[in-house]
Amino acid sequence: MHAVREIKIVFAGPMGAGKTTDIRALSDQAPVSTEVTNEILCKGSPGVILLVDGRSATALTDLEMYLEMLRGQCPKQPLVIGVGRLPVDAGQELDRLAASLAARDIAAPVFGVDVRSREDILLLVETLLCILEMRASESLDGVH
Amino acid sequence: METTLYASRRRDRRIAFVKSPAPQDAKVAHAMQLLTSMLWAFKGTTRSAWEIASPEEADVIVFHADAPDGRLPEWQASGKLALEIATAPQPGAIGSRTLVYPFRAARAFALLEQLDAELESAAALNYAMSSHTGEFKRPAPGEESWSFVDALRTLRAYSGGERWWVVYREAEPVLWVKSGGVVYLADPAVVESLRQGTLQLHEMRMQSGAPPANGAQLRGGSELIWFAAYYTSNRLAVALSDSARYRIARWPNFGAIRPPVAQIRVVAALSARAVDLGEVASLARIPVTDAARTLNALSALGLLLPAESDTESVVTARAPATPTVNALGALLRNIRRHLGLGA
Repeated sequence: MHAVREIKIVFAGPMGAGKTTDIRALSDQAPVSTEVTNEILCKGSPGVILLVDGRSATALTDLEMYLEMLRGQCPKQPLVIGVGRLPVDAGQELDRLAASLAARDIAAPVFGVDVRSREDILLLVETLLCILEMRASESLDGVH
Repeated sequence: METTLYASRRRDRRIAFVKSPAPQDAKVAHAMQLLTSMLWAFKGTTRSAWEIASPEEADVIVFHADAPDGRLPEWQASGKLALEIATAPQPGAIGSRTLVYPFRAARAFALLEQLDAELESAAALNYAMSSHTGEFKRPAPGEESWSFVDALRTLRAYSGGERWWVVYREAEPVLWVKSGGVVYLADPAVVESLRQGTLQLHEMRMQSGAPPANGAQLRGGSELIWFAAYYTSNRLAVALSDSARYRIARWPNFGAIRPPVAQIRVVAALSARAVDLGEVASLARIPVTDAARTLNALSALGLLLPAESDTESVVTARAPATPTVNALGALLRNIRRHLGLGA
């Protein structure tokens, strides 16, 4: 059996959403800034973490633009959405956002997070891993 | 006839204008006068009839943003709504109950109607909460009490309002929940015992009360109801069934709840397809009792839906060409170990 040694998780989102901060919080190595196309970025990745700045006036537009792009480039990968810089009482706004995504058949988790917090970023990663695990279990059910 | 019916439903609302003890410029006085004049001009057109009254009698208190009266928190705690008059633009600090001078009549009219709706909602909440205030039901041996969770569900069913609901252990306040249930506050030891299931909520009582001290850090209300429901029972709540299949309407905001990984697995399983209690426990690799607790927590948040038929599954995209299942499982375990996550 082929042993898998690496897994590529894509952190996507507009400039200033906290992608570099997130990766710095998790990684043993300093992040390297580069520009690649989304198509290349998504290739071979089993899942995507999408970050949006909740304080930005264009947060909703940003989210929709990235969802559209991800649906085109990696339509089958599970997606976890982290919305940063929201006040604690913004739970209802997040719920409404998640409900509007669900109405469009996008069953992605939407969490309010602090992108500077390692604990919060691990929550996004852990959720993505749990979704991947469940999909793997489904595949296993299909094999048996 | 319609006019008569409408008129018969009109309520009296009282509004007070509070002059600040601090010196005010002419703009402030004019802004207050402008709103007073508009109230007179709006007579007969607003949903409720607005009358000027003293702060003690009023439903709404009008104050100047730069010099709020020291009694304002006390008035708000008693259910009065605050309307802020600002005489200069305050970017980023404008609330939904703020009038920035000079303001248009249409803006003032809309705000009065909004306040009226908020007062109506608050009255409905107070009525609904009347059956939840006082001591929570103490469960008989072998039973559990859902009183606290029911009270939170009622709070969350009504949005808005400034009133705080205080949970007391004997005479000591331990938890504050704001109307709407969106935020709560407690000291870190109480939060920890809530999260660990050692907070004996059924031994407490709830009633409306003073807001918490300034400076305390608010927490998401979904965390409170999630863990309260999770620890209430290790059996499914009576509205749920062992044999029924469930799925989630959508994911909870786990950024506010921060659940252990086993609970995330349960939700991930329910997001993939409709499953029953035994199946979800098996998929999440946890005891059935723990799975039942998580289903109860999802249900308390209103996020658990019964499958419409035995064969229904939530349609989710299959994973792309993934590594073999066993290899992926080993990889995920390695990643978790590396990142210091739960097993």
